[in-house]
Amino acid sequence: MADDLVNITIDGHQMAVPKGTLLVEAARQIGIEIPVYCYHPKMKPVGACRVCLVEVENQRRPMMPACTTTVMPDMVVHTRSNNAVDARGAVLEFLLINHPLDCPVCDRAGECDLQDFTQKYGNGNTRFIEQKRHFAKSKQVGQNVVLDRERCIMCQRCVRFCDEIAMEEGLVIVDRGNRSEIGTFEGRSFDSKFSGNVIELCPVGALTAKTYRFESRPWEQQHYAGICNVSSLGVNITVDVRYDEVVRLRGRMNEEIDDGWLSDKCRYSHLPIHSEDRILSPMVRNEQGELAKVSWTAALEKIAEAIPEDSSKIGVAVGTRLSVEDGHMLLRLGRSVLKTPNVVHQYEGESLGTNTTLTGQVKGCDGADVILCLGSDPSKTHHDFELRIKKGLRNKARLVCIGEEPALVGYADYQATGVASELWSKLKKELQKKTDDEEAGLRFPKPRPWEAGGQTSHDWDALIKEIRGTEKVLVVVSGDIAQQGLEDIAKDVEDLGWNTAPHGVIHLRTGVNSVGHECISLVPEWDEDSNKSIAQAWEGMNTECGVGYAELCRGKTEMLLAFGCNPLSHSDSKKPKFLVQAATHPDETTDKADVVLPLSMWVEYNGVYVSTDGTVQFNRQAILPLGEAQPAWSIARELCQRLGASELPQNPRAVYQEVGTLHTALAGATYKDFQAPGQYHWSYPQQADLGMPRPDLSAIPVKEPDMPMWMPAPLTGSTVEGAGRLHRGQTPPPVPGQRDPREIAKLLGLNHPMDRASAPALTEGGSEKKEGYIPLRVVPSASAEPAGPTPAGRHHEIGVGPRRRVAVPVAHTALLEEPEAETADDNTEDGGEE
Amino acid sequence: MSTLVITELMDVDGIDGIDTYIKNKGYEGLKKALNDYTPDELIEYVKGSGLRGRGGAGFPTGLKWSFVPKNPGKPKYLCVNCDESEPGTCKDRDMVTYLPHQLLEGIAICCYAVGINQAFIYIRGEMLEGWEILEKAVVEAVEKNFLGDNIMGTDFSLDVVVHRGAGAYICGEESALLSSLEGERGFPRLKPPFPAVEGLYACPTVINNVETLSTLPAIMRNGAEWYSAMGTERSKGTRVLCLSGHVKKPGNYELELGTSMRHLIEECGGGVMGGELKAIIPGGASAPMLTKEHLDVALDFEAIAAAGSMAGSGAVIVINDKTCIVKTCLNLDQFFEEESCGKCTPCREGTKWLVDILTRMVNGHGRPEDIELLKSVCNNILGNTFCPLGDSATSCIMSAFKYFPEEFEHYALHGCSILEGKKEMAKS
Repeated sequence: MADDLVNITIDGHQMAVPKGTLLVEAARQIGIEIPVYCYHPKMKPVGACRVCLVEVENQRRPMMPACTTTVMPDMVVHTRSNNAVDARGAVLEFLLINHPLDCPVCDRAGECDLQDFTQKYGNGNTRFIEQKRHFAKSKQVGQNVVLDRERCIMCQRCVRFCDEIAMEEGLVIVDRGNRSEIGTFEGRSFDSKFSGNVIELCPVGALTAKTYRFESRPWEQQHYAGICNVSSLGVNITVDVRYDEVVRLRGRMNEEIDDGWLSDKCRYSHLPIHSEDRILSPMVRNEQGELAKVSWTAALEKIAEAIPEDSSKIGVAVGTRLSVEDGHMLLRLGRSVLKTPNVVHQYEGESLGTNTTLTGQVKGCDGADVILCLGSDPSKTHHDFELRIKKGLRNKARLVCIGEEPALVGYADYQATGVASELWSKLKKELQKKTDDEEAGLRFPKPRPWEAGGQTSHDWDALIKEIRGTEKVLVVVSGDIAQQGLEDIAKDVEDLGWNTAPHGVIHLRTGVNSVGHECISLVPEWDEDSNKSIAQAWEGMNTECGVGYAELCRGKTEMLLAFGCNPLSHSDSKKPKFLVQAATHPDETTDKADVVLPLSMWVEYNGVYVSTDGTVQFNRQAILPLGEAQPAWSIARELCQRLGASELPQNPRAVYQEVGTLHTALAGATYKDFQAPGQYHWSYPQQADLGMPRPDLSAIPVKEPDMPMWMPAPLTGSTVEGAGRLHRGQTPPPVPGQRDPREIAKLLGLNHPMDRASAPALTEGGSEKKEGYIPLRVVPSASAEPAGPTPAGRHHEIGVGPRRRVAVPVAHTALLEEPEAETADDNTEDGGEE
Repeated sequence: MSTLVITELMDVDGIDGIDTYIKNKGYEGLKKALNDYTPDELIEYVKGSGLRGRGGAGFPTGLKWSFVPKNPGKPKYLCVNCDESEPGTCKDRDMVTYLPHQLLEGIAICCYAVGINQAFIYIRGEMLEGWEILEKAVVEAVEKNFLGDNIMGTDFSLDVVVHRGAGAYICGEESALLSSLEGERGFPRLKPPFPAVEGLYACPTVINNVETLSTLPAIMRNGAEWYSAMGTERSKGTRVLCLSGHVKKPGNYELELGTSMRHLIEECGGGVMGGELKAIIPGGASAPMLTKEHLDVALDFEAIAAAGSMAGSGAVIVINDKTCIVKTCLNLDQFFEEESCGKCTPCREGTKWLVDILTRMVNGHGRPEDIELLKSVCNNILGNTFCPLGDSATSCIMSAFKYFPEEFEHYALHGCSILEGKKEMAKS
C-alpha cells in the first residue's frame, strides 16, 4: 500500500517507511545509528535526554529529537551535519558535567551507553571546572535494587517502566531541575515483582542489582541464550557466565513470549546454582542412618541391587523442571529397562494428556478484546504473564476475572467471585443465548480500574454485555478448575467461536516443562496408537497404564526413583521401601532417601523445554556441571547401560533426535529446529560508519544447538583476544587455540559424553569391572566422609577477593598450566587414572 | 489616554462582589453572547475582533477556539492559565483579585462559543488571596445563575473549578499545566497531539490566559469593531503592561497596543528612578534585553520582535545605569535554574552550569575563557530543549553579550563589576 509509505531522506539515503515511524527507527533500518538514552521501543517516547537530536530541513526549530519525531512526506534529515554533531556533543557534555566518571568501579562499565556514545560522539576534553553534584554513593531503593544517584542521567526509563509497563507504584522522580533524583515515595520501598527490569533498562550504572554489584565486568563474561526454568511460560533469558559461574540472568527479547521483560522470580533464579547447600556428589545412607558420600559406581550399584523382582513395584517420578531429553531417557529407563508402567511426570492432579488442542498463546494477550481469567490468580503464579496481561490491557483489552478469589486486583475491569466452574457454565449459557443486543461487542471509553476514577465492576450483566459479541477472547485457565474440566472449557470456547489462534484457551501450567513431559507420554495412561513406534523401537516395553504422581508420593511402590522432584513434601506422603532421589538441593525427600544423586541444574546441559502454550525452545548449556552432578538424561542413560540396554543415544542432541522419531507429539524434532536466531535485549544491531563498529547481532548465532557439549573458554578474560571489545548481547568470538573439548576430556581422563564408547575403561578399588559398561566417573570411596555442604569432587577453590569464592573446574586450571593453582583437595583428585 | 478595556472597572469600590459588578454592566456581554449568537457565530465574532492571546505567544484567540473539534464524542475542557510566575509579571493577579467576575464572564463566553461544560482555573499556588476571591465569586455567580446549570434559562451549562497549583513556573507552560491539573508531575508534554485535539484527560482542551478571557466581556458589550479599531494593524486592542524595575511609579498600565515604550516609562511610570536608563526587558524575564535606543519601539508583538526581543507576558522591567548587567543575568538565571523542571538535559544541566559560571565570575574568580564558555553553553541550550523554558534562560545572557560585552570582559579580567572600577588585582 503505497499510501501508507512515506518517502524520506536520511543522510542522503532515500527510503520509504510506513507512516508514523519514528525517525530513530527509520534510521536504524538503514543502519544509521542515532544515539538514544530515554527512548526505548517498548515504552512511549518522551524526548527527554535530547541526545538523539538530528537536523531536519525546513523546520521552525531545525533540531528535532529523532525519538519523538515521526516521518513526514519528503522529510530531509541529517544526522551527521555540523549542527547535528554539535547538538549531540553538547548534550553529552551536559550529561557528563555532573557524572562522577567512576567507570573503573562501575558495574556498567563496558556495556554503558554513556561510555560508548561519549567515546563516539563526545568531546575529548572537559570545560567544567565547577563542583560536581554529589549524593550519597549508594542508596538501597528496594530489596534487590541499589541506586547511585550521581551516575543517573535522568532518562526516566526506570520511572516509565514502573508507570507504563508494570503499571504500579514504583520509582519516581523526586525534586526538580538540577536537584532531581530517582527515588521512591517517602517511606516506601521499591519491591516490585519486576524490579530487576529497571537495572537492565538503565543506560548507565545508576541502578544496580544487589546480587551483581562489584561481582563481575561485562568483558569477562560469556553470554548464552537460555530459557527460564522457574515458570512454564518459557521466558527467554541471557545467561551471563564468568569463569564458569553464572553471575546474572537478563531478559532476552522474544516478542511472542516475554516482550523483553523478566520477572524477579526468574531473574534471580540463578542464585541456587552456586549456593552452598548444592548437592554435588552421590550419597548413600549408611548403617547409622546418615548420608555418606560415595562414588557414582557405588551409588548406582546400590540402586541396581535394590531393584525388586516385581517390576510393577517400581516408580519413576520426573520433576517438572527437567528437559524433554531428561524425560525421554527416564521413560526408557522406566518403561523399557525397569519394565514398570509407573513413569510419570510431576503433575499434582490428573494428567491431561495431549488430546485437547488449545489455541491460546501468550502473545494472544496483545490483540485480545477480552482477557478472561478463569480460576486462580495468574499474577501470583506466573509473574511474567502478568506483564503480558497488562500489555493487553494497555492495548484496550478488558480484563474479566472469574474465580474463587479476586484476581489481578486493581486491574480487573470485571470481577466475579464464586465457584469458578459454576460461574463459567452460567456465563457460557448466557453467552450462547441468542439476543439482538445492538450494543454487543461495542467498547465505550471509561476509566480503567488503574486510572483515576476507575474501579472494578462486580456487575454480572455488564460483564455479559462486555463479552457478548467479541471474538478475540483469551481464556486464561489456571488452578484447580483446569483439572476438573479443561476439555469441557475448550469445547465451550470452540462453540463460542473463540478458538482462533492466538486467542482461545491458554492453560497456565504450574510445572515448567509439564507440557513437554506430556508430549513424551510421561503420564500414567499409555496410548497404544500414538506410541506404536516406541513399542517397536524399545525391547520389553511395559505398555500398561500406571499410577499417577500423587500415588507415587503416597508410597504405592516399593522403590521410587525421584528425579528433580520432592515427593515427600506432601502431608500424606509416605516413604517407599527404597527411595532414590536425584536432586540439586536437599529437601524433605533428601532427608529420607536411601540414595541421593547429584543432579545438574538447567544451565549445566543442553535441553529442550515446551512452554505452557506449546512453544518448543532450546536452552543452551552455559556452564559445566558443578561437582559430580550429572543431568538426569545422563544418569538415566548410565543406569540403562548398567542394566544391559544397548544402542543408547550419546548426548542430548541424539536423545532429542530419538524424541523426534519416537513421539508423535514432537514428530520430526531435531536440534536443527532451533536455528532461528534469538534476539538479545534491545540494542543497536547495525553498525554505522561513524566510529567504532557495532556488532551486527543478526549475524551472530546465539543459539548454536548443533554443537557438542560445551567446554568454557580458558580461565582469564585477558587471554581471550578482543575480549575487551565485547558488547552486550554479543557471543564471544572463538577463542584462538581453544582445544577440542573431546581432546581435553581425553587428556584429563574424563568421560566426555561424546566419547563414552572410546574413553578408557576405569575401575575403582574394590568393585569389579563389568563388561560392557563404563562408569560415569571414578572417585575414591568416601564412605567414611560425612556429607558436607562444601562442594568437593573435582573442584579447586581459589579465592578471588573477599566476597566470593569461585569454584573452578580442574579442567581449566590444568589447561592454564598453573601448578600453584592446584593446592587444595589433592585427595579428591582422580588419582592414578592416567 | 486611551480607552480602558480590561481595567475600566478596577477602581470601582466593591467590584469583586457580584452586585456591584452587575450594576456596572456586568454579565451583559454574556447575555448578549447567549441571546444573539450561535457558538459558531461567536467564534467568528471573536476572530473579527482581532484578539490575540495574552499569555506570551500572541496566538489569535478565535482561531485557537476554531481548532477544537465540534463533536469529538468526549468532553471538552477550558483551562484558564492563571499560573502567572514570570518575573516582572503581575497583571493576572490584579485581574483575579479586583475583577473576578469579569474573568468568570469571559470564561462563560468562551465556553459557550466552543461548547464546553467544564472549565478549570489553574491559579498559581502563591496567589492565596486571589484564590479565595475567585472561590467566592464562583459561588456568587452560580447563585445568580451566571454559571452552573442552564445559565440564564438557556440549555448551556458550565461548571467552573478553581485549582491551586503548587508553585512551579513550568506549569505556566500549557502542556505542563495539563499534566499538573491531572495530578501528574508538572512536565511539559509532547506536541503533537496539541491540546485542542488531545489535552486534559486526552480530551479537546482550550487553554487561555486570564487577560485574554477578561477582555471578552468588553468586546461583547462594545462590539468587535470597537475593539479592533484600537491598536496596530496586526496587534489589535489594548494590553495590560506590568511596569517594574527602576521607575518612579511601577504598576499595571493598560495601554493601546502600539504605544511606545517611552510613553509607558516616562508618562505612565514617571521616568527612570535613580539614574539613567540602561536596559529594558520588554516581555518578562524570558525576553532578551533592549537598550535606551529602543525607547521609541512600539509595545506590540511585531515591533518588539523586530527590535530583537519579544512582547511575551507584557512585563516591562526597567534597569538603570547603576545596575551591573552580569549580576542581573545571574539573578535572572538563578530563577530559571530554580524553576527548570529537569525533564530535558540541556535545560536541567545547562541552567545550573550558567549559574555556576556567573556566580564564580561575580565572586571574582572569572577567567577570560569564561566569556566564550558562557556563549557556548547558551548556544548549546538554545534550540535543543524540550520546551521554550531552556531558551528563555539564555536570552538575557545572549542579549547582554550583544549590548554590554564590556561588562563581562571586565568581570573576567578584573574580577569585579565595571561599575566598581578596576580593583587592585591580588598580588600574584
